[in-house]
Amino acid sequence: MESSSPPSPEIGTDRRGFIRQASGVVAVAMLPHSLRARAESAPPAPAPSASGLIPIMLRVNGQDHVCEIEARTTLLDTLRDRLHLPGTKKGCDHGTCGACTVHVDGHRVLSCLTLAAMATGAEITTIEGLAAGEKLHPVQQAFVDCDGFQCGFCTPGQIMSAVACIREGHAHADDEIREWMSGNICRCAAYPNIVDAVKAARDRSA
Amino acid sequence: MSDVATPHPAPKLVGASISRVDARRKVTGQADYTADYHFARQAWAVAVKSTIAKGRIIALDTAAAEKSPGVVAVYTWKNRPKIYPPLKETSGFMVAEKLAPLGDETIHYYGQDIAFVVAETYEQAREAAGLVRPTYAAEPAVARFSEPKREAPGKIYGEKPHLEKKAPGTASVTDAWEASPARIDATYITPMIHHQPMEPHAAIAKWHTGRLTFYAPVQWMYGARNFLAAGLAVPAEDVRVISHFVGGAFGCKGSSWMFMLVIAAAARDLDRPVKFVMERENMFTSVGHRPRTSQRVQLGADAAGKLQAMRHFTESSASEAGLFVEAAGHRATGVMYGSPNIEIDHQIYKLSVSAPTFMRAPGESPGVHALETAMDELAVALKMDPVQLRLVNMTANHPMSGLPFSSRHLDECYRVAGEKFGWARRAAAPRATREGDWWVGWGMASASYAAHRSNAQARVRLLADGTAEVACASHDLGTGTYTIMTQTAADELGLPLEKVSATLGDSTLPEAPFSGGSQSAGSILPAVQMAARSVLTKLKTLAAADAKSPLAGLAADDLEAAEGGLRAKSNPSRRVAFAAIFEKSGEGALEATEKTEPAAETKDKREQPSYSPKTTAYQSYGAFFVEVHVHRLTGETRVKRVVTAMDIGQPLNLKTARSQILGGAVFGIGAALTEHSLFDENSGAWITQDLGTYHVPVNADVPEIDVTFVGPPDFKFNSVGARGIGEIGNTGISAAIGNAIYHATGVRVRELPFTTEKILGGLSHEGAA
Repeated sequence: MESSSPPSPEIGTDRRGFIRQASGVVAVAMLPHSLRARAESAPPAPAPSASGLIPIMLRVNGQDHVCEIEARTTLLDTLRDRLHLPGTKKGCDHGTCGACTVHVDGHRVLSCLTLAAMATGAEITTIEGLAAGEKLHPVQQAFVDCDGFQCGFCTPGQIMSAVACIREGHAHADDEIREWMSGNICRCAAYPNIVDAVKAARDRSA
Repeated sequence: MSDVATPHPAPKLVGASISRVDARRKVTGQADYTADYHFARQAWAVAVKSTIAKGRIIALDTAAAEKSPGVVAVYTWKNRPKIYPPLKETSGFMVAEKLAPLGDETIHYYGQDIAFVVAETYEQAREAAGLVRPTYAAEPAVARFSEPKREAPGKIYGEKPHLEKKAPGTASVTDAWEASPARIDATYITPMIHHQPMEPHAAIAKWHTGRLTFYAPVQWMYGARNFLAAGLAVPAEDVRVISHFVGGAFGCKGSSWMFMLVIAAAARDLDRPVKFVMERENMFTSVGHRPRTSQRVQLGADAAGKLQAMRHFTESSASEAGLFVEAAGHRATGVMYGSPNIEIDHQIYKLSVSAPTFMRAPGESPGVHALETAMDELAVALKMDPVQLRLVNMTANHPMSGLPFSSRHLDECYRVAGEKFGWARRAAAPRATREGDWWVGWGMASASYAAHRSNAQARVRLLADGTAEVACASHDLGTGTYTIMTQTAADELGLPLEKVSATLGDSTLPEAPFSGGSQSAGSILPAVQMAARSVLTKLKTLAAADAKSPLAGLAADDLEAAEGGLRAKSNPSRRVAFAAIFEKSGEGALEATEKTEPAAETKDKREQPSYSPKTTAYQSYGAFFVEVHVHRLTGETRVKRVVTAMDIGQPLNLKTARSQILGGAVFGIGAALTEHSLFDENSGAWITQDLGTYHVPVNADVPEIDVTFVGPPDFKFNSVGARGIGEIGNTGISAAIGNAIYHATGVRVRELPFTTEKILGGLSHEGAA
């Protein structure tokens, strides 16, 4: 997120404008620097096998996974359908809802707009990898305590965004949290509780 | 058998503020939604949609798709797998669309399914779907809202389309309106809007030896089961529907949709599991929307504000292919205020558009919006405070039926929310307050939603280890059903929350009704209570029969469950742990399934005996107070503050109940400010088909929302005293926002949403500078 233009309320860029501006370049621009560099310096592509599949290795939640995918497969679909990590959700499949947010090298990324092949070699963290065993991450615990969800479908993405939001230093004021959490839609509208949860987790981890 | 009307022991968990019992699963990614399932040999299906709204397919070239890598089958109307589409609603299920899926070459609306492609992977299915080439003979779509003839629908939620109540000696309601000293006559428009739950529709069909297991997010397990059984010509007991978690629904997962049949039939035809996940863009064409309404409201009052006549005439859009009719006046002007003369009328017009369906507070949401805006206009005309105008029109009886309300505390809602908001400090005149470039306005409106109950069953099982299970085929749409079932059973059994587990979302469990109309909690919890009490009765018999038990010889009426055991009410030191009773008796578990039948007016006297819709009206009420800021140059409107009080009977869990009201209120903020599904009146196509152009509220659009519950538990309605809470939050708030915009700017906008261009037009007219 930090490598793209931040939504700046001072100049009145609303979230939709932000999405419109960003969506054209988002596949590259929203990648962390390490990934972007990899994409731009174009490392030699693995040769497709006879089946048209390419072998890739993804490091997810500290574990290496090897699989064969079509080159066009997104990181989201690879996580869900190949690696069987369905905690990351597909809400829109084109970068407008945030349900698929994961961390790539510590930065929040929309996995539906990221090709899996671009994420090889990066440290990927999904909702399944956030808790330390039985002990919930402080943001997870805060979402439980503050009822930061209803149906729960957007929650993995909200939590991954919230962890990054705090880490980025975008969780100082309520309005700042609202702005920097606005890439994640919650149709049940737990928004006020999500703001409370981000504040509670921020204060606990401070 | 103890009498449920006097709850015992006193509830400890029901009514408390408790974190959801399924919260941990939701924050760790372990909650299992339909699309999260993956089965061996599973194939993926993708739908191909019509790109015209009316006409015929004269050629459908599937050759390239069939040859595309990984494709297993391409289904069109020519080779549709065997189905027997049920096209009418029955008591056993609901459908929104009356068209057979892949029925023939005729196109009735934009986005109609014309083919399904099944392939080994999602990527392959999606690519092949793009290779299907239809050739159309298009005909002009019926797309202009003004074009179709207006017609009376058969019924509006069971009522006649035209309702009239006249005072003795009054010739017509119009006469009474014309004779009123203060009059309002205005027309309000609410646009088509869409549900858009974050979880798209999905389905996985898996057959084994002629029996179907069907994973799908639905609001009615038994309805989906019965629909599939009818459509596939198999016995209902051979269909199992599973839906442990539903990622939001808001009405669009209530009716069974025809694509479900195609997926199930394809899986049967191919003899392998078939998975289908709807693309977000098709969530705008294929699973319903809220119809457009145009509502003419005429209010007449005397000089003191007492209503003399109310007329509420609605025209709403409908679909040539659909069954659903959106209500309006029936559910607003028909239930809110006292008036000697009331006339309500409803007509529909059918478009070449996909089938609409009920959406959070169907009827009430648009109807209350129009009525409560008109009431604000009447207050302005009378130079009266809007709260005072409402207070002089309170009624103890239902305005149309004359039945007394079971419990009605709307005046208390105004008082509590108004005081918290600071309403007394409001400047009477509009355009009185400006902060920098922002006009500041305060507005209010009433909220209302009917209380419904249906038949429900629940099963409670107490195990020898002192834990318990509670189960029924209900649904947790984010509504907190898992949690309130657990709370209720734990209270009845005298167990801590963590000793009780709830199961739902499986059609093999005891039958629960459709989770819509805010009826689930009020319907299933009395059955949970009864089942728990039946288990305790069996346990008491076992305990009393044991001559060595400390409870030996005590009457069942003197025994109560508490702290994981039974004890004597007369002497609580005489107690036995559940585990000890089980150990002595040798039983492994005790189980009971009970059913409540409110429609039968509870012949079973163990259940709350006073539920009687023939003699009592059941309705929830509330009030919204809102502050908005409207930019004087751009017309941008920001909701800055919302205070609401809700009279919904007993809130079952303060934490999740508050969340339900937040959710409804934010739905209303979206309807008020941004949500508008653009429908092309030339082509009949939906224009807004993604969340980048259809604007649901995001975090930055939502201020703090202060929620208070007022009024006592409604034990005339059911034995938990709760009237249901899922929809009322989405009534009245859009009117409160519009009324606040008027107060800020002096501009009255009568068409939703209140977007900048509508406000700006008025502002420049008023002289913004």
